[in-house]
Amino acid sequence: MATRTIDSATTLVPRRSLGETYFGEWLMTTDHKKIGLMYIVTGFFFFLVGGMEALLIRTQLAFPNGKVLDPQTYNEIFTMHGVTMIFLFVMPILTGFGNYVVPLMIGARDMAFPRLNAFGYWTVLFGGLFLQSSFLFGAPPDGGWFQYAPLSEMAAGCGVHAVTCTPGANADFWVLGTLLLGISSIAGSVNFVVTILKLRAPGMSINRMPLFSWMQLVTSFLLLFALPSLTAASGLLLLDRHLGTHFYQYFYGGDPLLWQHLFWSFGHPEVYILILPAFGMVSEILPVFSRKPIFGYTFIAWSGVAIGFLSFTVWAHHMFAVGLPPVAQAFFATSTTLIAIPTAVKIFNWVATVYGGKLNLKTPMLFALGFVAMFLIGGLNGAALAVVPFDYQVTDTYFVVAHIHYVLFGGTVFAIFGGIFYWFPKFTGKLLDERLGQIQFWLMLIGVNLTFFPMHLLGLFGMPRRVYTYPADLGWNDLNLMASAGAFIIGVAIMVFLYNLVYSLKVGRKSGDDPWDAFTLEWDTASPPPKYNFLELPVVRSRRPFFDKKYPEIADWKTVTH
Amino acid sequence: MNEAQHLEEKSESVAVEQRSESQEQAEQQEPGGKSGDLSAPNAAAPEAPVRKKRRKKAPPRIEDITPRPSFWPILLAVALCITVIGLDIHPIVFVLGLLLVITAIIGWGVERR
Repeated sequence: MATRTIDSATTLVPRRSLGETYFGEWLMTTDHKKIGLMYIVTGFFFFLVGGMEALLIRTQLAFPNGKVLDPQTYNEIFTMHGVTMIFLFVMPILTGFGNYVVPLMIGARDMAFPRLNAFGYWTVLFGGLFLQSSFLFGAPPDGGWFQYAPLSEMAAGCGVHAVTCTPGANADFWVLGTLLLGISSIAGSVNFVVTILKLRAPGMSINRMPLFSWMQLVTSFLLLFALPSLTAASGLLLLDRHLGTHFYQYFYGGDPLLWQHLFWSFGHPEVYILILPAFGMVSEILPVFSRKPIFGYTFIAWSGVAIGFLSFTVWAHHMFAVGLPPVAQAFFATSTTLIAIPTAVKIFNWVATVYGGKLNLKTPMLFALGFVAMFLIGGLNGAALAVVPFDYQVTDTYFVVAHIHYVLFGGTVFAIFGGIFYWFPKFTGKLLDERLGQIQFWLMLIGVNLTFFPMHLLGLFGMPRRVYTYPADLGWNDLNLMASAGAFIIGVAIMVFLYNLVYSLKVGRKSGDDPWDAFTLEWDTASPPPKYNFLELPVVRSRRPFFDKKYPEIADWKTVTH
Repeated sequence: MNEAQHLEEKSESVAVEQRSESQEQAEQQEPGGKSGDLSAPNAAAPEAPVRKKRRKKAPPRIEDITPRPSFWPILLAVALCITVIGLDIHPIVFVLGLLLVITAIIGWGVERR
């Protein structure tokens, strides 16, 4: 009789479930760190997509009478550049940092609702792919990132009073894509609010919370209150386009300005949604690399709250040119000027933090300092735009393009790179190469100023935004060429970063758990952190808990009461 | 350091702390009652102190303090995407998406956490 020997070691291995395979682990993860990394990688992928679109725009405009893109394609590219950068790069990547860092910073083991967190990420990913897939269907959104109605309406009413519309699916992609992204943002915001309010470590009062967590909290409230008006506006547009209603069509008794009011009452808080977490990042980086506690913690935290409140009162400064009554103009000009006060408070506090410090000019610090300088320029020309007569002159010109890019590129993107260099050791256990980082910083600083500073002058010389080309005799040629050259320098800087990323991941120096001698709790665990973050929850006695632990003899709680 | 090593070291240190705590308590314990407990009866009773063996508190298991993986979030996101696409493409796609959304929400709700 034949016998068979069974090798138990090979036959008794249990089948692995989907969640135990490498890909399954990522697909099914509810770990805030993995979700955070997925947000960051996805956001950065869309940054590259949006960057390509920016380079196409600048190639088209580098010389007069450009022929690289036809007018329709140009409309699609600049629209998708804005949509991609705002909704698919900055928002997801900031959420990613929040996801990874906030629970660690406040001494929590995860977000309050881990599955909701995963849902938020996957909705962003699919929403982003849905929006980008519009190129495959030949119908990308083409009405600007704010998709003004009635330009974005369908056929009904088209041609009446010379109104041109968007009969294809272009605007539908925008409406449905932003709807999906809005759902994701709501899920993420609820999660941040509950996590920050309910899962802080013992002893971490709201007054001892790290400033990045503070700004994430304010941003989450802004999203919760601002998104409904975008959803309402989009819903009405969808009804107009498909069910024959006429909310935005003047000819049928609708009001085109309704769209602008609804959109901008989301859109201006949105600008602060994009910048407040960046404020938080810089408020974490500057003190660590100045070897000082942050100056005026309370003012920085509460000025963030003030900015949040005021951001809901300024929306119509985007609409000065539509013919608002003088009282409304005065109100919105005043509120817009008022918002400069808490913003300036932050800048003074950052400068005071750096002043007299033992500065360590590593790459994260360079980006944080670059952020302060660039954001200051963006803030000042923003205050200029609050002056109604000046706004009349430059509205919808390249001056506005310069302003928004100084704020969002010179500001937010610099802070994001500062954050990447600062927290990369936490994510991976390795340091990004310092020399390549410094090269990238200087290239970006030169590139940003070369690209966006000339746009102020172009705006003052009357170049409207969104034109696909221009004649040679308007005096705009040299400035446009400079801007395009600057854009390509930024492109080179991003290539340097990508090389640095691959190089450092492969052969980068190991960072240890606390490479920057930092102050906050995320560094009080291994780098990268174990799955459970902290086996025992830390107890907090001051605003710099990890500093206290490392230097008990000069601990903050011994000398400072807060 | 991997997670297992990290946990092992932590559990050792927790056990050491607990041992020293229980020793201290035993040393401070007076016959017949806890230290400073004036209401304890027979404070001067000559019974020998009873040393209770305290069980070592095991360190928390990773699966107890970390969330479980779940495929419902990704499924719900896919379902939502199909529903939204259905709004623009065809009512059948929309209804299919809606059914998937309902399935995903129910699955999410009844999943063991």
